Amino acid sequence: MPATRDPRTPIHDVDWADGRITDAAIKYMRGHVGQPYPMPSWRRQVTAESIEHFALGLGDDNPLWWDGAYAEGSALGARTAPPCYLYNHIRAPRVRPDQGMSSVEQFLPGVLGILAGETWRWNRRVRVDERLRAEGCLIDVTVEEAKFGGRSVTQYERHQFLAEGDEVVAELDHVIKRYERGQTRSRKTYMDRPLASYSADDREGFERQYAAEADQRRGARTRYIEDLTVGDTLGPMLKGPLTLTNIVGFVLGAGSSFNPTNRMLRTFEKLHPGAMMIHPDNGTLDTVEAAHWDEGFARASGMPAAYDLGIARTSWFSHLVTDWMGDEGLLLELGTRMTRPNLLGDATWLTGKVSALDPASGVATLELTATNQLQETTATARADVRLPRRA
Amino acid sequence: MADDVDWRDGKITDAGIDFMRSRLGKKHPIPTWNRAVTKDGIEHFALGIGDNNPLWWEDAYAQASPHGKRVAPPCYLYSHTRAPRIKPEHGGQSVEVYLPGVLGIWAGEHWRWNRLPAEGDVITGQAELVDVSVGEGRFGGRTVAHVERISLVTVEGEVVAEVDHTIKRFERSETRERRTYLDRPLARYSAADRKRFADQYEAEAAARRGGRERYVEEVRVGETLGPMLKGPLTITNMVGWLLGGGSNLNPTNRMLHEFGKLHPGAMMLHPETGILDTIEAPHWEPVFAQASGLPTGYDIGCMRISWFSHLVTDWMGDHGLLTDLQTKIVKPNLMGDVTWLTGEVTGIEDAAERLVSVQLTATNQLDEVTAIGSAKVKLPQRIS
Repeated sequence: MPATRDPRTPIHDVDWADGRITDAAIKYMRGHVGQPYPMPSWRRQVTAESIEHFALGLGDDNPLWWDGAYAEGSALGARTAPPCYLYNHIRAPRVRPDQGMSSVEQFLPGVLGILAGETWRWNRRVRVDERLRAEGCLIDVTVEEAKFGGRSVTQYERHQFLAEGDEVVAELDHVIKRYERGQTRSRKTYMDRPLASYSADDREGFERQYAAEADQRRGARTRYIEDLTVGDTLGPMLKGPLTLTNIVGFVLGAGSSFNPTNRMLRTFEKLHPGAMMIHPDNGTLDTVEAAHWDEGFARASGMPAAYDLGIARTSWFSHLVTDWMGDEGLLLELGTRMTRPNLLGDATWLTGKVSALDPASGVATLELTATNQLQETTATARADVRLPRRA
Repeated sequence: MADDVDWRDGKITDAGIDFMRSRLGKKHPIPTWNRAVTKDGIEHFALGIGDNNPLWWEDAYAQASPHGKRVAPPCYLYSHTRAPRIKPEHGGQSVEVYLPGVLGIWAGEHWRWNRLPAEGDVITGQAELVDVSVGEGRFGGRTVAHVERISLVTVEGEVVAEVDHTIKRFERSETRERRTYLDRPLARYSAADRKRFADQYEAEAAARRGGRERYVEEVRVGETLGPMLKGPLTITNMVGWLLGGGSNLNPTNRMLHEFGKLHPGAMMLHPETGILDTIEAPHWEPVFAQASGLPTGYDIGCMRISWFSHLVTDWMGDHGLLTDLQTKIVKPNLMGDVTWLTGEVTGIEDAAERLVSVQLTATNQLDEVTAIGSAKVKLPQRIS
């Protein structure tokens, strides 16, 4: 599909194609370090439906999320949400001026932003009927020499999830790398990566895997810290093959910052010209999220096909851990790094192993890996889990 | 298994038709995307149709309105009719239970509302097959139209609304041969087009009637509604609608596997990649769309119906009640298409009942009519 128009054409006065990292912009960013700003959120209230939508988008059939009676009879005594469900509380389109701008628009507008890694820290689970709000804060800015000459910037952002009384229930740090597009445009690292196709045997392999997974979920059988040995393995767990249906499924559960429509898309566009693109083939105005489902936009960004949302893979890792740890475990921390794109058609195999144990605190440390059908590692993660101790 | 359903060449058989007829009149509960009506759910739906009416978005405005509380747009109730049937007791969707593998196209719907859904309501759905008719298709061969009725009922037992879905079924091999739409030109827009769309969108909110009563006495036959713009259609737009309307066909990963086992007729195998997908995929996957005789992805029929309801609610004002909306989808709305909605008052149905009837039309950039509708609206009366 040849691009007849550069989709990075500036929509208004944001220079999408050649936004530069300037001293003034870096100084402006540094001036904002430590100043919290409110995050609009897709959900304000945790509901049974919202938990189910998120679990459906992960493919997580754990009765802790789905079955009120099971959840109330469990060690937790209540319907709770999967750890990464909280994405719902920091994703929403900013359709009013008082909702401000996302950090990649406010800082270095027009300069490419790539989510390089995430670290979640949870203090506790969230329950049905709780009301939550979130705040964001730029916590650090560093300037580096970029690989292809010029400078790159790394911005560190922290999101806090606050329950009643401003209790911090969780924190999420984002590491976002900023590159001038002029530097990255010439790179065609992934354009020739082969796309997947599968035989009936492959499909049977996927079906066997999916059929086996639910039985491997630990569930109500307590996993005690004393019963573990360093080197114990987790998984495999399968996610995919990636389809648009799968991506849409994830977005339906996690909420969306970039899917306002029609008249409200116009409102959004006026407020956020830096979040818009023009389609290379048909001249339609769209949001920056479109590269996840529109091949024309994906190719213009140097990808041979549409690709997943990074936060979907982080959520998948959390599913690997919650299935393994059982109902009484608590996922305390999850740090992920995306190392390669997950393209349409890709199957992702999640595996892990226990890398350290601290029986005194009950904390087990896990190393996690996501591997695609080409045996490429597409993401890695580290998790800390608190497990019950034998009396 | 899903591999066994012949979705490319599924046939309309006598046995398939007899089976459908045997199911007429049997009511069963359906799973729903939303059960409780919440502010979040209302806003998600409004965002998905591009409806910035403060009646849906602002507590203070809604409380001061005749409704006295946050209410939802009429077609928000789609989110109480749509959810994946992931348990055996959920049964199947009509297009997979009846004539599996045979193309199903949303041909029309008939909504009837007793009132607007409001924050705090808990609403579930009950479905029932109410009509089956066999006809000759324009596409060729035999076609079947079936009508499923969904009643939307509160936990207290109050029927808030009912919707009849008419779905037309065509053998895909016939539709492929006819190639009716395969050569339809796809839209392309210039900067001037984009400016025109932006200007239209800018003007729309000011035309909304809002808190100023539209009295039945002031309405004249021939009076026009709109235009209102929707689109251009993108996947982003479609995902936006699904985020508010809910989805019955987007389970993922392990749960997609479970869904596929329960609903082999709701699954399709991608002809190029060999990936198993759901029958929703032709909406966003061009290869599947082409296998169904369309040149590219296309909208979900309920989107255009929801758009019609927006045209009416903007026109009627906060004191009006949309009681009836009957729609027919006549041509596909393809990726890139813009939809212009217009309407005209056709009659003062019943002055005592304060009912006004309105004809609605959806027209694309090729000046093709893609959907038509007729609505009944109850308006306030001037106290003399």
